[in-house]
Amino acid sequence: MGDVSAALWKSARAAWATTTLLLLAWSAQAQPKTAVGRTEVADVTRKLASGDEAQVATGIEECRGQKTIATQAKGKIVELLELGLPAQAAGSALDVLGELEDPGTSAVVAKYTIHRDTVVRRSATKALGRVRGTQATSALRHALTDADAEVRGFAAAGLGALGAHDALSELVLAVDKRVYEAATAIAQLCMKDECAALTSRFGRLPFDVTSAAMSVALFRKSSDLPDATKVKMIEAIRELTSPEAKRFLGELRDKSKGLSPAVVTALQAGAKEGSP
Amino acid sequence: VRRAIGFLATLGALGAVACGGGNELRPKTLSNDWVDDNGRSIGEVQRKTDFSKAPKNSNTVVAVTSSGKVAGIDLVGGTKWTYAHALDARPRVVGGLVVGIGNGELFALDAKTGAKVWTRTVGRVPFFGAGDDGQTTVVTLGQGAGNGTTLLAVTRDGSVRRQVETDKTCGVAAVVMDTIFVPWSNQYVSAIGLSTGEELGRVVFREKISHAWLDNGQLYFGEIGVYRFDENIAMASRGKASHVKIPKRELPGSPRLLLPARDVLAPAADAFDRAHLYAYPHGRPFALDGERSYASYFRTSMGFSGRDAKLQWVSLAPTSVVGGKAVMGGVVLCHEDGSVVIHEGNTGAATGNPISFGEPIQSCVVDASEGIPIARPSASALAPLASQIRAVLVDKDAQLAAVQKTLMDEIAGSLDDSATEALIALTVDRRTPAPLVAEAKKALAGRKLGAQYMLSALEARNDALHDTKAGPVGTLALALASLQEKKAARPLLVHLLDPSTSVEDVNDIATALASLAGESERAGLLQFFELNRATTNDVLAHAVATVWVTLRKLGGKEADVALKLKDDPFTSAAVKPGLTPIPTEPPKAEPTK
Repeated sequence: MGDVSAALWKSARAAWATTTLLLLAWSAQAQPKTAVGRTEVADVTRKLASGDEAQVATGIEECRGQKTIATQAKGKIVELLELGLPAQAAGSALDVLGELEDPGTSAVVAKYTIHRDTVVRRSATKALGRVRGTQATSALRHALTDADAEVRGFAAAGLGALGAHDALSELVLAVDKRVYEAATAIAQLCMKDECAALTSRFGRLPFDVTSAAMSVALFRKSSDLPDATKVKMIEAIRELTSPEAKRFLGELRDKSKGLSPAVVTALQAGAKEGSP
Repeated sequence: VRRAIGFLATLGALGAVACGGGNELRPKTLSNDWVDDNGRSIGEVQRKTDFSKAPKNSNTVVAVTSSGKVAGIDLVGGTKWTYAHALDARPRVVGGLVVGIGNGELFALDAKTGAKVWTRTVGRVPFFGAGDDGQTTVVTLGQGAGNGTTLLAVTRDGSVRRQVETDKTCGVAAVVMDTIFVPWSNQYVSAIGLSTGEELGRVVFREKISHAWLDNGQLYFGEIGVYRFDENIAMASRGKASHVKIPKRELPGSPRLLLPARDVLAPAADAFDRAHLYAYPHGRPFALDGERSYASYFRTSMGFSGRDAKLQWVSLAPTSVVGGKAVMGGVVLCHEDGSVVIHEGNTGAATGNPISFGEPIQSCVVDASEGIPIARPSASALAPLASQIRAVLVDKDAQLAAVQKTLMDEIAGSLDDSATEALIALTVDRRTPAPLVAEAKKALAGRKLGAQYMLSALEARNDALHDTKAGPVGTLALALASLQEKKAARPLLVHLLDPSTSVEDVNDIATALASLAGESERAGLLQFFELNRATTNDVLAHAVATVWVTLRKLGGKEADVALKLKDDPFTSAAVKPGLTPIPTEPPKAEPTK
């Protein structure tokens, strides 16, 4: 046993080191490339106001990942979107607004969830989950009926992120239509017995969908999702009796810090059951 | 011995013909040397003919089974029988007998039981048909490959009472109480005395006739239409005989009531049997029963009424119709799978208990007129005509294509609101053959009736979550616009903004909204314009331009925005040419596809 523990510990340390490096790299990439000056903002603003499709497209692209410039240019981008843009430029503009996460832009982003170009609708639906705002929920519920599977996936994820509990029944239907993002959304939204709609489908969903949803549900606050419900969900995983289910419960047990004793006990029981 | 008897009988007949009987009124038997006597001779025959003992129909259906046997079903009693015999032609049911021919042998069976009554060797000659008055059977036979005819009168014991040989082209003869009625040369019917062989009278018709037959104790002649042998027969040459014709109407396969009598009916049904007309004439005045007629076309059967032969019902069966007969109150039809269906005449409802030969059949002959079980179904059990038509139109059977076209025309021209509902359903039903979807849309676009069904159809949405599809929204838009149905504006706007709506439909909707949209649609129209003004798709660009014109017409701040965007660089070159000043007249629907 001692050898096994040592090996596990070594493996965990290696994984931690790798994760830390990746996080640092990502963090560096996410930072503004350089400090933003007035000139750059003015340049972008000029391009956006040029009326030239190529210039406008360039201006919008220059706002990507540049929160300061994008914030300054936001008004012009919204104005352009309100009056209508060619599809490619519209998609980029919606991506930028999504990055800004400003609920004030909800209306114009929602407007593009019914654009005839599928790529534009994907951008709008994805952005709306981040932008939030007053029109987000109704637009995303409508987008859940979209002909494009990716749009439906973004809509489901957005509804989960928005805490749109009213959309729960549609999300359950969406899961049955293989919109698997809806499973995680349900895990974010369900209350007590409502979560049975998810657990009863565990056996029919791909396990990575089940595990992703379960991970979300278990780490919700006890005040939001009672421990008893979480225990029932763990039981549902145990009933799958597959090796991957047992392995997954074991992984959860190992990351159970912060969970209530009842939940931890259930995880331990699940992980122990059938382990070598 | 029988041959000798037949020969002697022939000699007797010829002797009688040669002698002429001494009555100057009477024409020489089947002679072209005849002067129209204005119906005097045939009038006399009619007055003397006693129909009181003429047999009624046997109410049986006789079929040639797939295994080649003769089979019978009693429509009233339900008894069944089979009889094995080679068959060179389709058997007939006359005077309670089944008369057939095979391997050169004529045979007669009891129609109710299938029991053999008589057989007679005649050689391999064409069999055109038979008549029977309950005592004597007259069989009409050809003479090898020539045009001549042999009429053979056979008694119940199988002996030949008279044999008439002639070089004339005769049709199927009937017999009533010692008189043979022989149609010939497509225009005459000669009455020939069975005892003497003399021609007792003759009638000439204005219409082609080649059949004589007894039905329900009455004598009829015909081919195209039907003449009754009654007190008016003497006026036939003046066109005043009792006569009925099936009202003309366009039907697939050009169905006929009767084939020319000289066309030998094969044991197996052919195209003529599958596309066939049926009617039952009777009564005073002489008319079609209930003014009804019927037609079959492969697996479909239809009922018509009135002088314009208006379609009343249509029925679709699993297998093709291979024979049948109109009766009092309905029509009896046999199907290839061996089933026999009695349709009530007004509604087409299949009535009575299920009847079947229990095996597939090649053809059938029905001998019935009245007294068979036809029950009127309750009104609630009947599907509307439009639904009946729809059931045929969604069938993928390629053989039905012609009748589907006919029925599509029928439903398109229907003045019934429910036809609109059926047309809409056809356009969205995945089973509807593609050419018919196009036909249905075309018909729908021109509909002036059933606006409530069109509005209701607009409620259906494209929804991948609930697996629902929108209806033919472009077509509905144009139809509702021509009806100026303003209630359509709101749902049409929803479809205009739906990215799943095809650009062709979007274009039609935009055209419709040009005359239907009001103030409450302005914001949605502007949204459509703004979202799509950069398009390079020509069809969509046309729709965008149409919406722009509508916005300008409706006024308000949306019209100002639209005007501002007219020359905007992001309004595409495909759209801009359509952004013309407000026309002085409302925009007309343009060809969109």
